Amino acid sequence: MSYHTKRGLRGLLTAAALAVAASMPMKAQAETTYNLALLSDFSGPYADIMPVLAGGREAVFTWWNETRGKEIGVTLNYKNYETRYDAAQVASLWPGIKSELDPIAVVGLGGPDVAALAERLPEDKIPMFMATAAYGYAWQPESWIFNPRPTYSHESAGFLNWMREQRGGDGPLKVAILASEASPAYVDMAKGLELYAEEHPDEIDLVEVIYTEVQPTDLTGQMRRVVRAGTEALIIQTNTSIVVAAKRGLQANGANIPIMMSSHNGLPASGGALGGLEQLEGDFEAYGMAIAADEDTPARQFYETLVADHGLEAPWNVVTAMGVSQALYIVAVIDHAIEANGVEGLTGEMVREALFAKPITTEETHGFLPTLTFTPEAPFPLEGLKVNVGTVKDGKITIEATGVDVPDVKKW
Amino acid sequence: MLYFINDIITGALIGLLYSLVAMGFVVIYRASKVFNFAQGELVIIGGFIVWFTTMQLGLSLWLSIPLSLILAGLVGYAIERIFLTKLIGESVFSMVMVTVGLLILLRGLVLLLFGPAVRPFPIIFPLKPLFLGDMLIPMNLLLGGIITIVAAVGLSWFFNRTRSGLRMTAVAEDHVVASSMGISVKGSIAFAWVLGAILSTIGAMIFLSGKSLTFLASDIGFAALPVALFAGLESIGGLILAGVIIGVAQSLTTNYLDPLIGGSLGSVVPYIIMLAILLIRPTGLFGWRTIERV
Amino acid sequence: MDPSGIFPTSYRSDRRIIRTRWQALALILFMALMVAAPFLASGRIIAILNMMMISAVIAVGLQICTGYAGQINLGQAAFMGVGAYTASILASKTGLTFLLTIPLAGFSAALFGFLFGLTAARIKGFYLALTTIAAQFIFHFAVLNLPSSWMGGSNGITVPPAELFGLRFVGETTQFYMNLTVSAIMIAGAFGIVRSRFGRAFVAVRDDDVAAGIMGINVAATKANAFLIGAFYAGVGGALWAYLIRFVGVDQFTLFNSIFFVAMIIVGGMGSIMGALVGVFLIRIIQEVIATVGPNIADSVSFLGGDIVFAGMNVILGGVIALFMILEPKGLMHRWNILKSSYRIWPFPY
Repeated sequence: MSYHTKRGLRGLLTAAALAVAASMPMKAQAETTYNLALLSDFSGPYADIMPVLAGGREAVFTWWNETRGKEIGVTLNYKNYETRYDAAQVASLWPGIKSELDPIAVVGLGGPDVAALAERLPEDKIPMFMATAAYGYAWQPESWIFNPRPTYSHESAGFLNWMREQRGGDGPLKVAILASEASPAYVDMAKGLELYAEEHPDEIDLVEVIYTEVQPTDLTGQMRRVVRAGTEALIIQTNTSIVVAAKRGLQANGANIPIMMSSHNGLPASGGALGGLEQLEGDFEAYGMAIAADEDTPARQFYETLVADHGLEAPWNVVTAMGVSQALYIVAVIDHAIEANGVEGLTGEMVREALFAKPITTEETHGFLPTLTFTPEAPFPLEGLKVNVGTVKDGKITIEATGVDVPDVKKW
Repeated sequence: MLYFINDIITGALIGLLYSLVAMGFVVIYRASKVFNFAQGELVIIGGFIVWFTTMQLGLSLWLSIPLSLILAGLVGYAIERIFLTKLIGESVFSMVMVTVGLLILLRGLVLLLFGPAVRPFPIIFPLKPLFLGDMLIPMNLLLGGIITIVAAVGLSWFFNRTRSGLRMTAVAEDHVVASSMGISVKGSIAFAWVLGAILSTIGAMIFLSGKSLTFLASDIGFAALPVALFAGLESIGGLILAGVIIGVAQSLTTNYLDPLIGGSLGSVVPYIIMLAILLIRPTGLFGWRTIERV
Repeated sequence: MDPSGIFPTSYRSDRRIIRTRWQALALILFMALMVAAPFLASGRIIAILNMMMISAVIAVGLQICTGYAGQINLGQAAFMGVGAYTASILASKTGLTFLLTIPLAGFSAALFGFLFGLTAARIKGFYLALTTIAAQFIFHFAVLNLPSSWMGGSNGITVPPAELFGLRFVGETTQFYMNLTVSAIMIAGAFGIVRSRFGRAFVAVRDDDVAAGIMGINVAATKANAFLIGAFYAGVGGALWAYLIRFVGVDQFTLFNSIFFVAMIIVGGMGSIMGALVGVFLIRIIQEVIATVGPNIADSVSFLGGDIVFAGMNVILGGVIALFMILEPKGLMHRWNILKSSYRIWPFPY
């Protein structure tokens, strides 16, 4: 990522920007302050994307404070907490976060946060909002942890249905999944789609679920089997290393089966790891969030505003989009809560109520997310979910389809 | 049937890659009786050195590969000098524990020096596989397998036939006896670490050629472990046989059994084989069986 | 080395753990302080103490297995996982009280550990140490591939809170007392084990297993016992973990966790229960300081880039452990004992 190599100059610019920002009497104008706890992983497995993700999140809070917050006299304070992506660390940090910050919402990152806090948050009455797609194991009613996107299996099923329609014809789409047992989350992603394929044999013909290591030694043999079976799509929602190894395996076999990736291992990341985006020509990324492509979309325009006026310096890519969309639906919910309960005395419980009370429209999230209608039945909106599909055309990421309907995936 | 044979060949070649990484364990173990838990981290460091010289410095492969091997050797030497020399004479136990600390330290150090991003690894071996009729053999594994066998034969010859190699074998048998014979234990251990780091770097090149480089690559250290134990921690030649057996077993499991059970038995099979063999032969196939006296 | 004026006159008094009045006083004060801690310290401190006490139980078990009996064990996290899963399954499916699930978790982990200990009858030294890594892989594979109605598979298991006479152990304060009670019992037990017949057999086997065998110690049984006891402690610690987090997933018990437990007993000092406690304290403190100070440093010196600061913190953690191993391979307790005895015999050199 070029972001790192240019760190020196950019770092200095940030420092200058921060110094200027710090000297401005921002707090003095606001009458009410609410706190948000940001769970981050700057030194664990997601250290590579964390600075960009954090940049996206923080810029939105700054934007909100400087526009809407100023209007109504509310400031959202936020503080990053380092979890190292470790449930033990989250658990030991949590009581401190609660007493020190008394947050009205937690901005979560991933699985360990969910594991450590799923049973704690209902007791403490503070909701947590994630950025990623949801997991089957967290699909419980009365949750205090929410995802703006459906499960990974919803997203892949939505993509596959779109692809089958694109292809035309009657038969089901032949699909293979590449998963790994290194993490239970990866198994979960595969299980959901497996069940969906089982129940919809007319839509998806699941050729094989291949389990491999997180850094595979060689997938040539597995890819040959997949190619021989006439597979039409490969679902890889695990990590970039598996995408790269699968791509090499396909290249060795002289085959070009389109690969679908998710947001955390999407086209830019996998392309970078392969040494060039052009090698992913015709492959897809699909997720329930705006695609960070070159097209001039509302999301893109909002990103440009953040860069121009609110000190965002992360590049326009899927990770930034993830951070921005996460923060956007959080400020939208808080906004709703303020509308319903007034500026003073907002609590975490009210924020959670506000989430169910009123949908978060796609306009409110500047097109980053579809309109989200949360219910107490699931941690993610069960209806009206859409996925967007991005692809690589002529070496560039472009939007292939937007607003693709997500089918009704059953809980597994 | 043809595919079955192909899977066996690919499996054997992957096994040979494990053997190469395991060779790093064995060389260091022979010299110092220390089992190096940070072997996987040495593979990553080697990988990053190769990445740095080719992708960052932009050197051609002919230049960057020898340079990387030299640099890796220096890193191995530095690790030995900084962390292990001082412990000669201490219990083997505390030296092993240092390698556990080293594992944690090296991870942080790589993160600090190279950053956490996923890197594209240079294409060292041709991406195009070798076609044998309908069979298809990945080039990196094939050439890697040849390198492994050459390395194993070369090192076996060195340790068993040459004077300096025999000195090191003497060190492997007993530090005190060796030093009283006038053999430099220090020098021998330092040489082993240099060799271990170089072998790991070659392993990284074969393993990662054309793929991506992250911390996940250190897992190969633990994948190679059963091979080292299966062969016996002192035997270099035995690694080849052990690697091939474990590689073939793993390949057949992943290709024929895993699709049936819908799981990843292939990643555990090496450990199960290792446990079974150790119960029958407690020091592996070719490990030294020492007679203990009180 | 005792202070002057303390002469054991019988074997019994020589084996005493608490040898002077000051030690008794210090122990009582420490226990009183611990009992009062929730009233004195913030929730964050209590949460850290919770984590420390759970780690302490597991590390003490590892100390008995590795430090006393000399059996390197890199499967401690897997043994902990077996305990955590046992407690979770029993609590969520049968609704059994934690008074029973915690010991049962210990026993099931002990059984799993004992299986690996049995191999010690044939496999020795590093070969044995490395087979314990297999425990780690087999545990992971088994959880994910057994039918998910057994062990939750990739879903993990949600654990109902521990309850006693209508009191629910949720929130750090109530859990603190639960952890304090269990860990105090377990640690007191450890002091007992290591000075018992078993403990002496462990040390004999560690120092020379051939000699120990000649002296009439059943070496294989002793090694298996060491694994059994070590895994029992891990299982109890795992059960406490399950009740603390109230969600268990297989990714909470990794090889890397096992390596950290080993690091804890090395930093503290091999072959000393106190050493295990000191090691747990130190490593947990370093981790917490990094987690606490890191974001602040990253904020104030942002021209460095947050990622550099955090990577630097990782280096510090690894560096401290490596430095300890190089400069103080026998651990902090060893240095402390040297200091203590030189203070007591001062001004004489020995």
